[in-house]
Amino acid sequence: MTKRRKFLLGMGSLAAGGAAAMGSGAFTAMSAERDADINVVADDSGLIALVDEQPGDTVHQTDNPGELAIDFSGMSGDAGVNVNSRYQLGEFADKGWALPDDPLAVNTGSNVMEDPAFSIVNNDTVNHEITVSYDIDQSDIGGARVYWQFEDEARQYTIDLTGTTTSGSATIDGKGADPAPEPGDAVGAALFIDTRDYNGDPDDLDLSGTLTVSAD
Amino acid sequence: MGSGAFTAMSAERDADIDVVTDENGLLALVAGEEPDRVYQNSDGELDITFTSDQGGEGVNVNSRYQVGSMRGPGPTPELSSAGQPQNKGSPEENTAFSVVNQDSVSHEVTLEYEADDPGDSVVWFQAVPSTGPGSPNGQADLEVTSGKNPNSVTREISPGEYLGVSILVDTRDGSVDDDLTGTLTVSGN
Repeated sequence: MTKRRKFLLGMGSLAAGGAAAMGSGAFTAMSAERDADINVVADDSGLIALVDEQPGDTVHQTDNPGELAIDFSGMSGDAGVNVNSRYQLGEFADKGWALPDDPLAVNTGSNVMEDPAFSIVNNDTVNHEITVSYDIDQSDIGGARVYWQFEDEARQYTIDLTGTTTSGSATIDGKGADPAPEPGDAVGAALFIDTRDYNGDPDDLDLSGTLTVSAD
Repeated sequence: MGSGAFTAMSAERDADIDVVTDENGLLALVAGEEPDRVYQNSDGELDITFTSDQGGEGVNVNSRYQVGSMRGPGPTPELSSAGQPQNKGSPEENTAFSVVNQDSVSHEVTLEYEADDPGDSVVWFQAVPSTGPGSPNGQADLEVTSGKNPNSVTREISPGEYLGVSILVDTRDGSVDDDLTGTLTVSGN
């Protein structure tokens, strides 16, 4: 970022003249200009960055506005997740309690998510607790399941949505054992979608929603 | 009887006009408790930056970032309305920065911000005098965005009192072409 004007600091007058210079120093006017560097950037370069880690377009950063997006609509724009199927974006760390039934991709034997769908990177210079929530537009998804796993410093966090539980959140806080994500930490995120137990009309099911990432 | 004409005279008097860092000015600019975004730089000036040496280049498009506490009702949904921007040392009352009147008389303090190219992105400065938000001269919310750029607020600050200021950046209606980088001018009259 370019630094613009340096400083300009003018004082209109200083009541410091005369023999009685001991007096209180009231001034008449003062002005000081200071720089603020507040550029608006794409998600992959924010102070809290959201970085696409997948080669295809299912996870991608839009050109403008430059936001991370997850999009199963394919080239046609009409595609989606098949009924009676499973899809996964990214590979889960292998931690039993933090896995859905029948995941498709697990980093076997490792607590670490080496191939996330996307990462949430703390590009700030201090630790930040990061909360991720997913809120499905629809209020009831029947037997379908949307399962998120997040991983930081070999610790897992999950969001498990099914039935009428259509919103949930996970707070990546180190769980008291590690600090909250430190400068440079990348929190991995992987997503699993399972429609095998959904028995309704596929026209009535839409798992689209809003992913919210916040940091304290 | 003539008038006492003289040819020359000399007397030395002291003038104490030290140049100091912002935090020690007669109208002082004091960084708050989140030192990496708002801080006093090596030139001794208050500096606001939303970049980091970790590689953070700015505020994400379609996001909000807040430095310091904010009280409602204030800027369009503040991220945290706990407390208010008054630097009393508690986390609920921290500021991005404070403008402290260390002079012996009251001053009308004006904060003006001019952004280079705000587009529909917004930067808010919420300023609350230490005499309290409910005082006649209370809370001020300064919004800077296209159509309101530059923009300013003025509050009177008594000797020893201060204006606590917090910052909220809201790019939810903005684009990556926006740039809220700009100049904060603090003036006192």
